[in-house]
Amino acid sequence: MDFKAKLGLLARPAVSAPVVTRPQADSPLSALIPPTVTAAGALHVVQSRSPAPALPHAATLAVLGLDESLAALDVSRLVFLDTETTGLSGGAGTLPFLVGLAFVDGGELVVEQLHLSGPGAERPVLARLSERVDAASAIVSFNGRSFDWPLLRTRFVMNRLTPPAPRPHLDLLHASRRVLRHWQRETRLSTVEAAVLDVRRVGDLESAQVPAAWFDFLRTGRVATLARVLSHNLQDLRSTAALLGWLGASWGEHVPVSPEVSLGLGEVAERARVPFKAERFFERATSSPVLDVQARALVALGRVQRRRGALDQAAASWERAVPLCEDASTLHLALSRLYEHRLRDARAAERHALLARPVEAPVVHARRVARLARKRQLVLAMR
Amino acid sequence: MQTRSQGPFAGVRKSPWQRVAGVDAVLEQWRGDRHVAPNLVLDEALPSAEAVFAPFPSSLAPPVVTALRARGLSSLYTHQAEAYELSQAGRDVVVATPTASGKSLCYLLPVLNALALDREARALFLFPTKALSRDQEASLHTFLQQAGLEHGAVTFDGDTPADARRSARERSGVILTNPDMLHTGILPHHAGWARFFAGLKYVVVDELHAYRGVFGSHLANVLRRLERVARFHGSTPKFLCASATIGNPKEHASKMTGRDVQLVSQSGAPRGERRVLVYNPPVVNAELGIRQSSIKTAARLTGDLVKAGVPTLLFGQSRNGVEVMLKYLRDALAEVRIDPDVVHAYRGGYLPHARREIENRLRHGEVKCVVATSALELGIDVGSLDAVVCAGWPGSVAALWQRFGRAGRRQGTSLSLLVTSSAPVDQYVAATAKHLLSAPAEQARIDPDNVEVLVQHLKCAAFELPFEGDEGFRDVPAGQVREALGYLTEHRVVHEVTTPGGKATWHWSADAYPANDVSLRSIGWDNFVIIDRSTDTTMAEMDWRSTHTMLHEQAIYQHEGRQFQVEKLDFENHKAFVRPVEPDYYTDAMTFTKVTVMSRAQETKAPTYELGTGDVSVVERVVGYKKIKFHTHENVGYGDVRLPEMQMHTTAVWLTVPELVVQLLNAPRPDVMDALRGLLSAMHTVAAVGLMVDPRDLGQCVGGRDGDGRGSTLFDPTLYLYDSVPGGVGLASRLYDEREAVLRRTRDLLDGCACDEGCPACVGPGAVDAVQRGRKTLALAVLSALGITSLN
Repeated sequence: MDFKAKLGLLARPAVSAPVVTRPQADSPLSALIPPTVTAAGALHVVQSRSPAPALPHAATLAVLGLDESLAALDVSRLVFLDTETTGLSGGAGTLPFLVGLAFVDGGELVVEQLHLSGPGAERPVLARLSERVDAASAIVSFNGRSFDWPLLRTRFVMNRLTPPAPRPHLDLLHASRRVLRHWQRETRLSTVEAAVLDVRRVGDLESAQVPAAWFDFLRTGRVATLARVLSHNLQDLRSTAALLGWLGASWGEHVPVSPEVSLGLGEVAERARVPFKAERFFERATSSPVLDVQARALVALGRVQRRRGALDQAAASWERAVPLCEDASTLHLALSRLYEHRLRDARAAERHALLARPVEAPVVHARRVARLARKRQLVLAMR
Repeated sequence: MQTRSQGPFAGVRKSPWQRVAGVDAVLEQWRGDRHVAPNLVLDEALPSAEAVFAPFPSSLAPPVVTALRARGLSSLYTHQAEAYELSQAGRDVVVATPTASGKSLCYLLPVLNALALDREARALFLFPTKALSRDQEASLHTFLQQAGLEHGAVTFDGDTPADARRSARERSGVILTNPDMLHTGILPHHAGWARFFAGLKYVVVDELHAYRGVFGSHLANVLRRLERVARFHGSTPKFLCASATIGNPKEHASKMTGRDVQLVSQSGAPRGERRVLVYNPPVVNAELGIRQSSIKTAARLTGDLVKAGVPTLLFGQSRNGVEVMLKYLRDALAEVRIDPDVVHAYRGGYLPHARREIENRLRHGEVKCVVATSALELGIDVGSLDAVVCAGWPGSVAALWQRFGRAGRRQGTSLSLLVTSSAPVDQYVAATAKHLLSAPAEQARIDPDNVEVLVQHLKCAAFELPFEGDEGFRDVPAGQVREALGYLTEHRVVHEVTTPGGKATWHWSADAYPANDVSLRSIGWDNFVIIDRSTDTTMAEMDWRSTHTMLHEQAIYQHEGRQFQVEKLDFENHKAFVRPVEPDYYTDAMTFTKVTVMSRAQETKAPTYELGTGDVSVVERVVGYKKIKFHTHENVGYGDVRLPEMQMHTTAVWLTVPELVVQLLNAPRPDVMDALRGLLSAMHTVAAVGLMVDPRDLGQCVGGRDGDGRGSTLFDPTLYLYDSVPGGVGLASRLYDEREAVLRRTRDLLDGCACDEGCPACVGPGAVDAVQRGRKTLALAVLSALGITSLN
C-alpha cells in the first residue's frame, strides 16, 4: 500500500464541504471590517467610543491588585485587554484572532478591536498592540495575567518579534475574587457584571462558541458570527473597565455595598496594611444577616482593634463573636491571651483558657490553666 | 543475616546446608546435588576484564577536571574518552557498553564541558521513566556543584511544581524529562522555552534500547519535532545516546535521530568474573514433553541463594508469575524460619512511594531478594547484587543480558541463572545453550514512518509551528509531508493559506491541543486503578491492555503475594474493585483472535501454497478464563468474560494452505486444523528466534484465506504471523523476505525434535488429545504436501 492509500485507511467520515483558500489580499473579513493600511500591512480595526467610567487613583489600584508597582503610575494611560482565541488550552498553536484593547481618551472609553484576517497575518495586529502597550502605563484585564498576556507573548515569539517591554498588570479576576469572595462564589466576568454592574447581555455569544466562529469564517468566509464575537468582546472590555470603576468606588466608599462585600474589602485593606479602612469595612460587615459573615467580621475587627491598641474594644468584638462561632476554641485562646497579657484580667483569662482546651497541647493547656489560677489567687490576695 | 532483628524468626535453625554462605558455596552445593547438577545445561564463566584507562582529554574545561578529581578520578575509561572526543569533533554519538560500565559519564562530559564554556548553553536529558530522571538529577547536582557551575539541573515532569517550572524554563542549564513530557508539556509551549531552545547544545537520550516498537517510533517523531522547534529558535543540538548492548545500536540511534550517529562500543571498564548458568527443569511427562514448572524451580533455586545470604534479583515474565514466585519463596523461607519480609515484589503497577521504599531497603540490605518483572531493568540503582535469576526466557538475548547485568561486581564472582520453561522458545534456547554466551544481541526496531504514528505527530508539529512551502519533516520527504497535510486539511485540523508571496502554509486550525490526544506508549495514560473494597484504598494501577486479561470480573488478582478477587470492573471509569480472598487457585485468561486481511502488498504463489504479506486488522477478545490450582497447576474450572474487543491495524505474513491440500491429507478435518496450529506454533518459534524478537511481539492466529475463518466453515486455512504493535514495526516484511528460510527451518525444527508425537518445544502445547490426533506427524505431512522438505 502506498502512503496515500494508508492515509485513506486512517480516514474518519469524509468531509463534504470543499475547502476554501484565498490569498490574503482580498480577505472576506473586509466585508465586516474594512482594512486600514499600516506600516506592518493591512490592519482590520474597529473603534467604538462610550462614556468612560470614573477610574480610581493609582494608590487604589495598588491596593486592589495588592501590588506596589501599581502605586505610582499614570492612571490616564491604562490599557484594558481582552482577546478572543481559537482555544483555551494555550500553547504555540492557539491563536488570538481578536485582540480587544481599551483606553480612555477625552473622557471617553475607546475600545479598539484588532481582528486577524487569517493565520499567518498577525504582524499588523501585533505591531499595533505593541504601540498601545508601549504607550500604556499598565495593563488591566480579567484573567489576562495567566491567559491572554502569555498567549500574546507567544505570538510575538512565533512571529520573530520582540514582545513589548513588561508593564505592571492588574488582573481583575483576582482583585474581584478577593473583594467578592463572601458574596459570590463564582467569579466569571459575566456573573460579576450581572451582580455588581447590573449588566444584562441580550443575545450574547457564549464563550464556548467563539473558536467555532473563527473556524467557520476560515473555511467559508462567512462573517456573521464574527460580528457577534466583536460585540461579545466589546461588552467584555466595557465591563472590565466598569468593574475597575466599581471596585475603586467601593474602596473609596462612594457607593453603598453589602456587608458581605464590606468584609472582602476589609480583608483587602488588612492585607494592604490600611488598618483604619479595614476597621471601618469590618465594622459595616458585622451588620450582615449571615452569621458566618458576622462572625468573621467580628473576629477580624477585634484583630485590627487589638493591633492598634484598642484592647477593650478588641475584647468586646471577640466576645461578641464567640456565640456566633461553631467552634470558638481558637477564639477563646486568643481572648485568654489578650486578657492575661494585655488587659491583666486573670479571671477572664482563666475563664477563656478553660474553653480553649481542644486547640492546645495537653501539657501547654495544663500549664496555662495552673498559671492563671495562681495569678487569680495572687490578685485576690493582694486585695 | 547476622544483623537480623530479634523476633519470631530470630532463631535460625542450624542445618548443614544453612551454613553455606555466598555465591561460590551455593554453586558447589548445586554441582554436588544429583537433583540439580544434571539439569544444568550450561555452567560457564565469563572471564573478568581489566580496566583500560585513558588520560583526561586536554580540551576538557578546568572546572570539569576539578569535578572529576573531586570524585576521586585521575583518568577515564577508554570508551568515555572516545565518546568525549567524538562529541568534540561535532559528531552525534551512541554509547553501547555493558551495564555498569560508566555510560553516564560518556554523555555527562561533553555536556558539562559545554556548560563550563558557555553560560547560555543548555542540554536536554531524556529518560524513559520519571524515576530515572529523579535519580539522575541528584547525581547531576553533585557533579555541577563539584565543577562549580551555576547552571542548575531540574527535572521537568508532571510532578514539577508550577513555580519551579518557570525557573526551569528560564534558568536551568539542564532539563531532565521524559518523552511524554517533552511531547505534551514542552514542545507545544516552546515559545515559553525560547531561551532554552536557543541555547540547546545537546540532547541526551539515555536507555535508548528501551525505545523500541511503537514507543520508539513515537520518540523518533518527537525528536523530529524537537529538531524543528530548535531550528526555529536558531540551534542545531547534537545527540548523545546511551544504550544497553543491542544488536544494532548505531542503526537504531541513526534511525531515531535521523543523523549518522557514531558508535562507541569497546568498554574500558573492569568486570569481575560472572558465572552463567542455564537450568532446564527435568521432564515430568515425556509424552507431552511437559517439564517441571520453571516458576517453581526458579523460586526453589532462588530460595537456596537467599538462605545463603546472597542478595538476589529474581525476574518473572509476567505480573502473575512474579506474585506466584513471591508466594512460593516466602512459604519456603518461613519453613526454615527466615523472616519472609526479606523478600519483596517490585513491578510497574506498584505506586511510586512503595517502589521507592523497596529500592531503599534493598540498598540497605534489609531486603535480600526482590522478585520483579522488567521494571528493574531500567538502570535504577539498587546497589550491588550478587545473583540474578530469570524464570523463563525474557524474550531476547539483549533482554537476558540486561537482566543479568543487574548482578555484577568489580571483583569476585557473581551468578546469573536462567531457568527455562516448557515454552518452545525456551526449549530452543536450552537446546542451544552452549551458544548463549556468543549469541548476538537482538536488534531494536522502530518504524518512524508508520503512517498512524507519523500523522499524529504532524498534527502536533503543525500546532507547534505552521508548515511552510516544501518543508520536510526531518527525514520525511516534503512530498509525503504535503500529502499528509492535504489529508489533515480535508479533516479540518490544519488550514492552508497562501501567503501574499505565493507560498503555501498550513496552520493548525482546531480548538484542541493535539499532544493530549497522542499517547506515546501503547500503555500509559489511561491506566485503570485497582481499589481494595475491604479498605477502600487504591492499591495499584494497570495499563489498559493488561486490564483485559488480568482484571476481568472474577479474576484472581495477585498483589504482594496476596490474592484478591475482582468483584467489579468499571470499564467506563477505569476502576477495578477487588476484595482479599484466599483461594487455592489463580486465573489465566483465554483470548480469541481474528485476523482479516485489508490489503495484500506482496504475494508469492507456489504451486502448492500461497505466501503473502500486507495490512491486516486484528481483533482480540478475552472470552473466558481458566482456574489453575496453586502448586499442582491443575486446571480446576472455567468462567466467562464479557469485555469489549481490542482492535488494531498492523502488518502480517500469511501462509495459505489450499483446500485441495487439506483434502489430500486424508485425515479428519479437526485433526488437520490441530496440526496447522502446531505448524504455526513451530513457525512462530523459528520466526521469533530468527528475527531475534520477543515472541510476544509476534502474534499468531489460524484463520481463513480472506480472514474470517471461525469454526468449521474454514476454507483455505491460513496461518498468520502478525506484528503485535499497531501499524507494525517492520517484522512482517522481514519475515516475508526470509520466507524460504523460515519454512525450511520450521521443517528442520520438527524433524530434529527428539519427541515422538509432538511436544511444546516443536508443535507447541496442545490439548491432551494432540497425541492421539498425531499432531506432529500430520504437521510434517502438511509440510511435505506443500513441498517443503528438509535441507539435510
